[in-house]
Amino acid sequence: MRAAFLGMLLFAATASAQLQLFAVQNGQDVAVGATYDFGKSAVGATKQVVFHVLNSGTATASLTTLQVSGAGFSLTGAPPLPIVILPGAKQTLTVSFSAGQVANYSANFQVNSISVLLLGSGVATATLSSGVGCTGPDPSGGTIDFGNVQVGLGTNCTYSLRNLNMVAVTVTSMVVTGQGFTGPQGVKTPLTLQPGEMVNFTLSFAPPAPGVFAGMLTIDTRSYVLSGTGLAQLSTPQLDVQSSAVHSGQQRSLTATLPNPAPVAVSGGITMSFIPDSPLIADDPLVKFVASGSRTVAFTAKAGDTQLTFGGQSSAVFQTGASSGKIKFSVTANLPVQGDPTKIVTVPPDVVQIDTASGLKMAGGLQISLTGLDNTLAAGAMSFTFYDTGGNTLSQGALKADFSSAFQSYFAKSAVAGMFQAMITFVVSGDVSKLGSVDVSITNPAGQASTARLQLP
Amino acid sequence: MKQAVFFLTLSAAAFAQTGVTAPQAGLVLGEDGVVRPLLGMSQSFLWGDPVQAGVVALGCAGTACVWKTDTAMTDGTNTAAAPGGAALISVKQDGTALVYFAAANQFAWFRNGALENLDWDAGGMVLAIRAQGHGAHIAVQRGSSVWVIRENGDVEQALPDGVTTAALLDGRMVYATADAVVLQKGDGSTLSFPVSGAVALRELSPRYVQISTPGGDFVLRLDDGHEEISMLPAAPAEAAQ
Repeated sequence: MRAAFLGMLLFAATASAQLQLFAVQNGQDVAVGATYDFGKSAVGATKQVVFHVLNSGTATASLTTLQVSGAGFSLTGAPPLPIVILPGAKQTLTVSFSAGQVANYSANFQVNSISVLLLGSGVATATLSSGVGCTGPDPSGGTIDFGNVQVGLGTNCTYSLRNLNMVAVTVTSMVVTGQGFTGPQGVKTPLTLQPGEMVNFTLSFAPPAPGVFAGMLTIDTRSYVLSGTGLAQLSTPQLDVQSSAVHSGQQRSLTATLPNPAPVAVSGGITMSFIPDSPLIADDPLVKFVASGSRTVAFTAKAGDTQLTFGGQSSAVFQTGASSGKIKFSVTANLPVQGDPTKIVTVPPDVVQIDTASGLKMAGGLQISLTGLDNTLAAGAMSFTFYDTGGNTLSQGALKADFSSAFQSYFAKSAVAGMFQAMITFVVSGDVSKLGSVDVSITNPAGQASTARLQLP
Repeated sequence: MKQAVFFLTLSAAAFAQTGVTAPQAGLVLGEDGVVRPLLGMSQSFLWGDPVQAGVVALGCAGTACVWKTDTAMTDGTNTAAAPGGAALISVKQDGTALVYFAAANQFAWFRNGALENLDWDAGGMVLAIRAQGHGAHIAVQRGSSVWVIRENGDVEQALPDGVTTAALLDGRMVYATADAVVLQKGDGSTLSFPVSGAVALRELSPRYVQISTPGGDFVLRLDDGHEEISMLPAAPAEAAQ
């Protein structure tokens, strides 16, 4: 007797694995009773519930029966049997419910000797679709994607809920959550849609910063992921050169305004390049920004600004150079720049700009000094009309000369493009002291320029 | 009246020899002590390659220039030891330079490689000097007023209130207030240009004056009827070789 009793005690000490079934709700294991109700689910939608099978015993358990039988319900992703569960361990199982029509559904969920009646209802819902120019929800994941939207701006999309069922559908709530997403606008819940009836509403996405944003549109039991990407882009800067026509030998101001405010703090540079008209030169080193002394000037703008600033100034002064051609401004920034922010300014050919002119008599001759700017780099023909001290034109009339060769040789090597200082020497036979003054003209392809009458001291 | 008869012929050879060159506005002493030629004219300027480094003060008359390093005066040929620190230099057409050594409050002539100290006392802070003959015009600040005096102390002119610096030119003067640069012509008339904060004025040539401000440099063109202010492009940072 005592041995038998001992045997019975021994048998009790080594007893069994014990399996218990739990449903995971809000992250917690909740014990499942004889029935488990999946609740209402939109027709065509899939609802999943995660279950845990716990071995609460002291011995290893073996799951040998695992089955869901009944329309609308199915086991998802279960491992092959048998499944060994160690003492204290859990096995996770997922059961899916998908109602194909408006009806009540039930199924038997068998886990070894545990038997649970699964319940669920398919309910009629309205169908969500996007309007013209908008996308989603995508058929596979139900995601509505707003795509790339510039920070500081927003985009709206119109969606519609349509009742494709034979019965009226009531929408109890429509909620949008997630940073950057708002709506639905244009619709109030609860609302009832009769068969075939449709209602439109708008969803909006306005990213507050660069980056990827996610949200959710929940319509009763259904959820749709909202997604969008905030792009920080600089709207195409409008480059303007102050006031009137541009000519060589000037300093002009360049401004840059933004059609849309800067989405974030911006920094970058405006770069000039120059294409000369004359084949004599490859570039004009006088074309440059004054503040930097180079072809590039830095700019900044704070978030919300509509004007680029240059070292705190609203404009950047540049020299137009000393040769005709085209000055091209282009923009680079620490953000992508929309469009093509370039500006081309044409510097047209001009007659020679005479800066200074003077004459001086010497023994046996005289010298005329001329400084000027020939932006065609093609000046050459000059004309000199001399007057005596009485103001009378000399009998020989205008002296003409062609210095094209000398000018061309100079311009080809000039460090200052079309700027020049020319010294013209005359040998005079006669009494130099009787010479009083001279008119000088110089011609280039754009025309003729003349000095005021130069006195000859 | 019988008209004089002349035969003028162009000396093509002479033209080819003197030829065409780049116009130069003057030699400029930068904040970095480097002297560079300023090429160009009117509103278009370009810096030439550095010609001298380590320069503290510079003065030129045409092509004749005199400059000071920290401890010496030189005209490129002759050199003399000099007091250290800042100086003002005014060069005459014959190459003689009048120098004012600020730290030592000492005027001197620099000629033929020698310094001859002068017993002049301007009685205040010397802002500008201009050599004339054996004497000079001196712009001096006494208290809150600026005067133009001769070397013997005779007062020539009182400048308006608020003048902070000046440059004495040949028959003209340029001075600066807090918010303007003023050109006073030989006839006493003035032209005012809205340039703020000028800290230094220096004659580059008879045609141009350099204006230095904390925000950048400007050039004032002095040609009668063509007076204008242009911005100077930022100078390159390289030092002279």
